[in-house]
Amino acid sequence: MINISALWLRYRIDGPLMGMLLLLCLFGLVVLYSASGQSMETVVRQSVFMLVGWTVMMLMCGVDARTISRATLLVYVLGLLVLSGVEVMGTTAKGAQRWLDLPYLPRFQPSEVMKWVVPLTVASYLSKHTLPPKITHVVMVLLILGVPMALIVLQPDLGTALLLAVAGLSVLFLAGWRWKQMISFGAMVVVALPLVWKFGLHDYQRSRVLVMLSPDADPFGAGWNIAQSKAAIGSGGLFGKGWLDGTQSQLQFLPEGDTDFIVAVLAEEGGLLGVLLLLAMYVVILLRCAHLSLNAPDSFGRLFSGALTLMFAIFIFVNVGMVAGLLPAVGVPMPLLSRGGSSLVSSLAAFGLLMSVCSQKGRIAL
Amino acid sequence: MVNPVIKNSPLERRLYRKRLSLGLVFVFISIMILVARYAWLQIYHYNYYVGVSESNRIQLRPLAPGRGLVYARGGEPIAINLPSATLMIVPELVPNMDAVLAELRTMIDLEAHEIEDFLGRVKKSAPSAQVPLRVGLDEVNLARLAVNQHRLLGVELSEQSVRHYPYNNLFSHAVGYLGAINPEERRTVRRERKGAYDATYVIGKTGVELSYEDSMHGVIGFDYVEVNAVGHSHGLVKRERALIGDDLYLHLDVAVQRVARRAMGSRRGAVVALDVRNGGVVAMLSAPDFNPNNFVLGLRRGDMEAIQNSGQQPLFNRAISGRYAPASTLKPVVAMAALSGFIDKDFHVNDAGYYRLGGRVYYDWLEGGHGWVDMHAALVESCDTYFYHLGILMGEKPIVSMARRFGLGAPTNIDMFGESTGILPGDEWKRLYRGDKWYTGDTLNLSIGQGYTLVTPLQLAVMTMGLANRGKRWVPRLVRAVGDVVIEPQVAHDTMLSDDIWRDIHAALEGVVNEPKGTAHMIANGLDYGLAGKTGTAQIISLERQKPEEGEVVEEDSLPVRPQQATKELLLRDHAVFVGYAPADNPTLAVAVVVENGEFGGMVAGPIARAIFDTWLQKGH
Repeated sequence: MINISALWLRYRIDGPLMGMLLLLCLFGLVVLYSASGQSMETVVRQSVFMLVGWTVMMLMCGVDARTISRATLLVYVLGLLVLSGVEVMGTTAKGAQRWLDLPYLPRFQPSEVMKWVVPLTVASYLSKHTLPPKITHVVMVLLILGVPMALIVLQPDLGTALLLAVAGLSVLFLAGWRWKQMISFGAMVVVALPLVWKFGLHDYQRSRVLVMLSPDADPFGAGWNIAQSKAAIGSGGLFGKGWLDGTQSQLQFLPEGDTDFIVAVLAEEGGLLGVLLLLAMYVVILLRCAHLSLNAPDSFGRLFSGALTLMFAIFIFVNVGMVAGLLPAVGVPMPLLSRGGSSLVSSLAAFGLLMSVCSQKGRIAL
Repeated sequence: MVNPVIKNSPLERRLYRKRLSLGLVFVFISIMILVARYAWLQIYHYNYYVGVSESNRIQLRPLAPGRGLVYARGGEPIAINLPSATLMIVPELVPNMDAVLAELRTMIDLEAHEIEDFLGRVKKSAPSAQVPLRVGLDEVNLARLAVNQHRLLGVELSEQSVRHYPYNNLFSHAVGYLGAINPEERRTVRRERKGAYDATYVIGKTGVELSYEDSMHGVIGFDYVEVNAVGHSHGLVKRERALIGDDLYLHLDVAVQRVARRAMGSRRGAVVALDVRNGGVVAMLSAPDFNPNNFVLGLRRGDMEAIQNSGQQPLFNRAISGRYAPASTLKPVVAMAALSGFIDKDFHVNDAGYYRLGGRVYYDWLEGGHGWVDMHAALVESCDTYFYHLGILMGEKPIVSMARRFGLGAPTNIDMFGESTGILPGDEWKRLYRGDKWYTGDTLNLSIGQGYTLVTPLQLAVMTMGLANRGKRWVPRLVRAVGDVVIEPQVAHDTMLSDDIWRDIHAALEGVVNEPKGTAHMIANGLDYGLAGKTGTAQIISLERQKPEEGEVVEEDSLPVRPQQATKELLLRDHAVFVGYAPADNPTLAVAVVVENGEFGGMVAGPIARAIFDTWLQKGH
């Protein structure tokens, strides 16, 4: 007689979290079907990636915390190498050098992986020392963040670099960064901002930011995506136009409808209610993750899972906000919803890691 | 196994709890911001964004409205729309436009300018629109294309409405014709009518087709087609039908017009017949004429050149733009001016055939003169000398004034473009436009309707309408009704003259036709109704002065013509003029006829008028 609860106890799987994730994934498939122009092929592909991701997630659950901690560092270093490699021999897709085409390996985006790894490295690092972190540790963290950021900015991928910064600093915050230090750092950034604007940004990046600030200025050029996205969202109204009935998406007025702008498709077809439903699902997941995080056995577990939770929240906020014209258009997909293998698998893997580090089962001291 | 110390101090736990909670609050706030933003887009600005997404997906395809038809007095359709096979191409369905055009050239005789025009239209049309390449395919070409259509992707054969004039030349000037809208007209139409002509390729160029263009054009319709981001159509969402334009019901009478044309024959000239009860234009002829059907599908360049070089100017509407001296047809007006305060009807003159003024002799047309004549005889026999005397007596001002009361020297305001106002000279006029003062000799010329005076056949008809109606004349109108709306006749002027004057003048005008010495007696053969009129022999404008006179209001394209295919000898002959009305006791019709270089008003122009009256009155008017 198989004892189900014993199974759960053995592995570090968290039932409620898995359940919500499953729900979200299935919901995502439904939305994707519409967003991909009713392409069953796309949905099947995505499901396959989902299965892969779930498998990875389970595997990650089985990995113990110490391995995770060490692996994080390893991946970080490797990631830095790969990023430098991309600089040298990366292939350009959609105008940005982001993909690496190695023989025998599927094409993947290193920045996509680093997006996760870097803040986690910060968490791992900080948890080794007493919290709140001292100033030397803070500086180290900034370094840990700064180097990959620079490489990513060179790709050029300002969006991901900023995301990384926000995520990393949030981890610092969680670890107990002193308020005074935080504020002075903030002040330094504010001062540096105008300089960065003038010298550090490409024209297209400047225009992206400007478009966000006044999206009607160039509706057929830089502002097109956002203008169409807002039209899609706005015309959805409260109840939406109905599944598969979104005119913006089905008639191809909405670009990237199955990737970055998938929330716009949901908003058009499901209306405000659809969006609220999605947000509610994410909120439940985040709350569960927070609960697990609070009850993690040690500092590493807390920080690591806290970092993951906040990162999810940030990615969600950035994508949903960008699609509605609230933030500059950056290429940030919607976790678990957007079409794309690497995003899906890394998200699910991250949840696996989260469950692992939060679990008491079979914990070895770090 | 004993675990080594797990790093888990309560202090750190508390710190973490605080920080995580703060983080969650932050997350919560951001989510609220997102919800607010979406609500703002989806609720507050819902209508606006619905509009945007609709305007994305809905493309308006204009539908050409059907043009109103034109009917003659008896209900005969004189301008209709016929379905015509048209070759069209839908650009988005054509993989390679050049290849398709090349292929089409092997099947039908496409000309370079046709292709050029077509490509220009393609630029301005949506990729999913049907762009016409050639309208009016003949059967052979239609068959060739139809047989090969399966090979030609994006090429469509459909029926378009094309204007047709079943009576060919008969109403060419009065009704006018449609032609392709040229770039300047496009600009004007865009400015004044916005998108109303987006689906229309032709526009009225002359005649009522032009002057009633707005009423006949109709209202453009739209197909609301759902399209995707690249303009490919997904289906029809809604159709707003185009509205057919109003039909025109004219006063023109087919039988009368036919008779006039036949009587004019191959000569040059004009005829205008007006219904004196309401000003309706019963007949308007300008000869030579042309076949407006040739213009509808676009004249080939060669044809237009042939027309313009023929020297006859068939496109020129002599009826409203041709300027001729009224000659003796002005005499009734002069007589009435004289009777209004200068003489009475018994005023006699002994006409020896000439009049001497200072050192100059002015001749009467009849050698030897008419002898003793009174007003009646002077009009009946058209005695120039008598009227010279009247001119001396009055001076030019009363003559001009009376002529004005009968509509000369001013626009008639007919519902058609291009009329000339002619010239009514005078002292002021001459000083202004000839830089010289008015001489008595000029008055003499004026008294017999020669000299500087110029009128159009339409003005003559209007004057005659005034004569027939005892002074009341209406604004001449080609159109009786537009759609359901009847156009009420409008009084142009009502000249009050005493009954005595009218009695005398009418008697004289009847005498012109019915008395043996009347200059038009030769047309009285077999008359069974009362006919009155006046003849004239107009000295032509000297061959050099074929330009508009100064002081004359001339509309574009109403310049007089210099016939080239006539001998100089013929060109020097005077024009024949006749005006008349019938039935004399209760007139219904007034007619003015000019036959260029015809010389004898009674013998040449008169019979045309007689034929017209016969036909008109046979119909029981």
